[in-house]
Amino acid sequence: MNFNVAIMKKESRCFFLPFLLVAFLVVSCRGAGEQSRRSTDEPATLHIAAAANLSYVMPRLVEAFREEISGYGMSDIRLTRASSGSLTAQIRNSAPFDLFLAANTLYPQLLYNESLTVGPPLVYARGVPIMVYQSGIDGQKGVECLTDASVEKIAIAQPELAPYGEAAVEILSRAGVLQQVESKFVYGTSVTQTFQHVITAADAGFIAASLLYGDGGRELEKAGLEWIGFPPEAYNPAVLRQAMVLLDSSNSTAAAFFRFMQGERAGEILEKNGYRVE
Amino acid sequence: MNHFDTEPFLLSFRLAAITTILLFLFSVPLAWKLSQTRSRSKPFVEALISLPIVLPPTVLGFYLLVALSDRAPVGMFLKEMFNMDLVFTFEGVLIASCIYSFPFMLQPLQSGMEQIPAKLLEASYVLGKSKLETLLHVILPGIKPSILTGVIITFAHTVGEFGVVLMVGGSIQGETRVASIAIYELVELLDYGTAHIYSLILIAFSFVVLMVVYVLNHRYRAPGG
Repeated sequence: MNFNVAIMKKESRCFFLPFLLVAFLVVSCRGAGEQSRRSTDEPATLHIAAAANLSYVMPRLVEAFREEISGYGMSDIRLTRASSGSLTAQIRNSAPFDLFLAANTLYPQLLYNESLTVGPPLVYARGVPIMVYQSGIDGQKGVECLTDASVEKIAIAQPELAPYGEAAVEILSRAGVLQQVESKFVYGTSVTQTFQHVITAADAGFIAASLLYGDGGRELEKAGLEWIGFPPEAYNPAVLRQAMVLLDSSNSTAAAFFRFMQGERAGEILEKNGYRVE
Repeated sequence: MNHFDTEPFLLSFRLAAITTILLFLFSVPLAWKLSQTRSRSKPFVEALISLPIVLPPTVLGFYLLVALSDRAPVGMFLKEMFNMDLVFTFEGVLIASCIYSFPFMLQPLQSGMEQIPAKLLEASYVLGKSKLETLLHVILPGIKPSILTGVIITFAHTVGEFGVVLMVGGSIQGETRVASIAIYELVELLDYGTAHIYSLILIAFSFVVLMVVYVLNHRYRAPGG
């Protein structure tokens, strides 16, 4: 019996060794990660909350920022993208963002009114809405083509969360076809999800012109989709006046990026990627 | 275009490893209690802990978000006492994971312990072993297949988590953007190339994990094995 117990003892010790090892590894790598993040010489980590329509242009802006602004070449910049509405909700729930680039002025303004920002919102670009459609549809006619029975699904971003969805509803309502096509809507949680819906399944959809620059443009061509833009009187441009707010006054990288976004270089990049800049 | 990055995987695995260790430590005493008790409240406790299996992740995510926010009593208390932010942080996602994966650890342990013959325990007590010694040297070695199943399934289930993490953690790079969420974002960005790579890695991982579980089960069940 004693012999048996001895064997059991030995076995059980070996058995739990892997757990201890894993525990040790996990704890040690967590500690190391934190240390490197808090090194004093490097510029502060910048965490940007960017509206989904900026998905493809953000990496280009970040790259230019690192190149142009001396001292920030190695800065650690992290992006979180979602609809402006969900990002606003996250910021209200104290999400750790330093800078918020929205798709409209309303959301940053609300945060400013609630004293959650450093200073008032500043417009950095004007968004451009477009309609994407399957090549079988006569889209050049305008949004009236959507009333046709062959159009079964129209992708739009949730108007309550995404300004580009709001703009889409506005375009359809000004053209007087909203009530006829409303039942065909497929809602995306952000404008990028809406784009994905158009690429994969919907017959038409409303997205941001900026999404045509990058992976999106290539997928659009592959899927054989076409698109048209809208004259300013077709929608309310104020809805897509894209503004940004600074959320953390102590983060020097955030302040530098905030200034960079107001500069010429950022303006050029935005213009080249489907935005209008004044 | 290739945006492959190991960070989401490291995050997923770190989250899964810590969740598994914490749940193992919590589950052993609770599973033991549940396996030995004849109390009338047992079904109540069992049902409560099994809830995450049937509940939509959004329900759990919603209430955790409400509870952990620094405007709610629990979140406020943790913020004031330990200066801990739980929403949109790794720690918050860890708490969510522990609740979400609890039944996957507890159930195999409990069913394993229920099958230990009472004679074996009595023998151990008669030989003068304490409860702790009995646990470490008789019970746990006796339910090795159950422990392995629980540990492996909990780990894999946590890696496969999506809804709760998205709701409680958002998608913060290096903090809460785990592999499953990174894939969701890549698909939305139409970066199918990278999404394929991430997905194939997870498919391969999940397959290997399940293979290991089945191989172990067969080996332990085989006569004389």
